[in-house]
Amino acid sequence: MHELSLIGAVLNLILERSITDHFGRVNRVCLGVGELSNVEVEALVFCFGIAKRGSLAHDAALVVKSIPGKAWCQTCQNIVHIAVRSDTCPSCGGWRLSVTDGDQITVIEIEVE
Amino acid sequence: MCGTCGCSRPEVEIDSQPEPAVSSEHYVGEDQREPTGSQMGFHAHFNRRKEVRVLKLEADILSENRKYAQENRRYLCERRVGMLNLVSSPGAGKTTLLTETIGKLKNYIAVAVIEGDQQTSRDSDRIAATGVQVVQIKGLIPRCKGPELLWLQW
Repeated sequence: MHELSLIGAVLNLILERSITDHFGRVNRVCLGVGELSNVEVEALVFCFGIAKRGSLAHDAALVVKSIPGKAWCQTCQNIVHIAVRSDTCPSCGGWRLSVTDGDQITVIEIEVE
Repeated sequence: MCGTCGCSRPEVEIDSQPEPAVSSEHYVGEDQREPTGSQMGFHAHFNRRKEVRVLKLEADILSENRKYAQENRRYLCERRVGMLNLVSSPGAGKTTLLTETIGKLKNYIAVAVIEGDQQTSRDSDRIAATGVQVVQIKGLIPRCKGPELLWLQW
């Protein structure tokens, strides 16, 4: 994945919200990163450390919460947990899975002042 | 009362000095974080910004990306084009796999390749040598080797 562009999108969002929500600095950014989003958290943290410089989030801490990957199993007719896209169904071992959650990257909340 | 916005909160204390012109923007930039001397004219607006708040955003960062992806899928589907995205480490054999596959398929279906390479045109030259159409993209994401895309049209 392109972690630097993702952080760029996060910083753009912060900039937009600073105008509508009237804040001048960000203390903490909390991101939700899905297990199936193909995002490398280590690279994300690294890119944030560089890209935040000179922005409203200059001194902000980054908190990353992992969102579990979930898929609908057509065989079991149930939602099951998968950690990677190539996983088979943990109940029946089948491949008939469609991802329902955990493929997203979300800005959950930001602490501002 | 504040001469800028007319607010009159009790905790507001106005410095006797005239307020700096920039205060009319109601904006606290990085260099005004710590008020000193005449900058006390920022009072209320400054105080308000000192309040620490948590904003629940729940904003999907990939939503813009999803829109592009959906548009691409629709475009390809309408034209009955199948697209494969090959991504792996440098040296893994993507281009070799491509040239071998193209060699076997090009007489049966129309094939084209979009090659993502930031450094050289070596890979796209290898693809071009097979005789199919190749386009190289570069410069979108610095120092990042993009995926190769194989278009299979039938």
